[in-house]
Amino acid sequence: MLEFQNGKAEAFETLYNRYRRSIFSFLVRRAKNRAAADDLIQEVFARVIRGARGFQHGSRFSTWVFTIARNLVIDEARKGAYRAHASLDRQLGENGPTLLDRLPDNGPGPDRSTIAKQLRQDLAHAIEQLPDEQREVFLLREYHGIPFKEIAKIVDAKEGTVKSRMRYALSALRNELKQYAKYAEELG
Amino acid sequence: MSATCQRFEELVLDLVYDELDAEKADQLRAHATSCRQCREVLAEIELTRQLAANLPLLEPTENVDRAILQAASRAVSETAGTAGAEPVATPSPAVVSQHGDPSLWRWLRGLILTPAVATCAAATVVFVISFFLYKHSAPTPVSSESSAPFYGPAFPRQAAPAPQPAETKDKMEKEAIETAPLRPLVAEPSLDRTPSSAAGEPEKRARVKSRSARSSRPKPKKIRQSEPGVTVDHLASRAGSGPGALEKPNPARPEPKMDFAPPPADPQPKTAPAEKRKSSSSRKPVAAPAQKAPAERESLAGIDDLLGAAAGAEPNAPVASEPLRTTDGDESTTADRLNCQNPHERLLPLINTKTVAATRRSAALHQLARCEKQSGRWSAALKWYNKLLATYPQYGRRPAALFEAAGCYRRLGQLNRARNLLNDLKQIPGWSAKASRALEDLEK
Repeated sequence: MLEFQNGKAEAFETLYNRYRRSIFSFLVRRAKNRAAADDLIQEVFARVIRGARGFQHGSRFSTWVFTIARNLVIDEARKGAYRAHASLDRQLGENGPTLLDRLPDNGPGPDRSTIAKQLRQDLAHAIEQLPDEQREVFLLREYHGIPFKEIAKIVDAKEGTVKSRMRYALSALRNELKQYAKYAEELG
Repeated sequence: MSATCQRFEELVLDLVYDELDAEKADQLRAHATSCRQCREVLAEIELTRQLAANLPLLEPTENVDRAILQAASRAVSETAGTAGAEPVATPSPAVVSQHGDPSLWRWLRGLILTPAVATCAAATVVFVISFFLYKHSAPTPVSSESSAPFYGPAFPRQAAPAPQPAETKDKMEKEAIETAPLRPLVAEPSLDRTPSSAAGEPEKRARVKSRSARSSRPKPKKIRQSEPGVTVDHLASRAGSGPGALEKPNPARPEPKMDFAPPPADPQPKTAPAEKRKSSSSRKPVAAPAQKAPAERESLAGIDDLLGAAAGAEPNAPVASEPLRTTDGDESTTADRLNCQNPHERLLPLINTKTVAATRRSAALHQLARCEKQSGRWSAALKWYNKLLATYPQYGRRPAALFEAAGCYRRLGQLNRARNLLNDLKQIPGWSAKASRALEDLEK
């Protein structure tokens, strides 16, 4: 960031490459809309570029950039600019066979990759079902490695509140994904 | 639940996410091995995390990557170009004084606040006050200063011009500095949900800020994914004209972000043709909207390059060339300001190129529609207005486009459609008066 502030365009590229997937994933999962995320990530980094000169090095870049991303999602949601899509990853219907139905009784079956694929879809769906405030905390902590203290700054809440939301999120996910417990145990 | 278990509950998340120091973590894990309940809590969280780890990170498209990196390169090159005028780092006092920077005052203030200078200043104040009291309380000798007694004041009472006391000098210097043009400011990164707004700041400061922002900030291209939107036809032909049909600003946020909103008013349209001046002078005053934040204004530059027609228009106000302007009936202003030379050859490639930023494509669509309208091809114009509003439902000049479309319907004799659009426009702040006037005109 310091190098970008000093006018090195390559520094921004490094910075962007480091955060592009994180920010984009966060935007997609938080906004529940990939097309919206395409727009929003551009706006996020446009704001980073505009605000780069004033960025204070006492604070964490990740906190700053995720705060921008989160606020943009909220703004867009308020404007109703993007309609929430159906699940991004889920392909099977709600009443389709559960994974447990397909798990072989005797040890790991040959279709582990199929299970993993199904797990990804169900996991994405389960995350989408979380309330916004739980989902954002979960995403930031689990996938983007932001400490609870920093998340508290991003979402403008107390650290205890953030942890409480995280516990609820984990609990909800555990209930949604309990059919995969056996699979997870097998994976060790 | 024991106190240890309670403590474990409080810290279990810190434990699984490695936010505890090693000693505490060991203590908690040791407790978990001996406590079945806590062990289960820990195991469940770790299992859930294990499952959650299966979700892959997603990647933006190459187009998005390219657009962002290009914006950054542009920003850096523009910054390098303006580095002399607007240094990135806060200059040191020495540098400031060399360049005559207005932030000299900051340095001066620092100097004034040193103990020695402060003592001198205090002494001067006491001195001036004593003089003032002396002057007004002591009997004034009738004679001139030459007849003043030797034990009188040690300075000439009526010396003209009197040397100004140090405090007065400082005050004058301060005033001079404060009234000098402000140095362009650099926006701080905002952690607030809304970008830093210039509203409430002095007008001069906001102007300087916005000028700086326009010249030095990047103009990121946005690739907006199309979403089906509400077309002019749909709005105009529906039975009712309920207020929800058009996108309205959120009352909680009176100044919503408008990606393609019109630019701020140009204070000095120096080379305006006579007709334009006439048109401007006859325009009814539109309630001035709140000053847009510089960051928001800056992102509008692209569209103005293309439209080139709203340099004198207020944000959210109808474009200057609005043909439904009924106060003077002058529709020829469009011709003066729109570039309608071979519009199809010039604009269609832009509109149809997917890699072109959405801002430019939507602006080109709007311009094409206006060119068609200017040429009197009302149906063709409506086709483009429809496409514009359907493809870019978030288009910042949407109200203007709707207003112009209403004009097309009126020309085609489809008064009901025009009426529906105008009724909707009446619900939009900043457009109410204009739409009402147009409606009145329509009813005549």
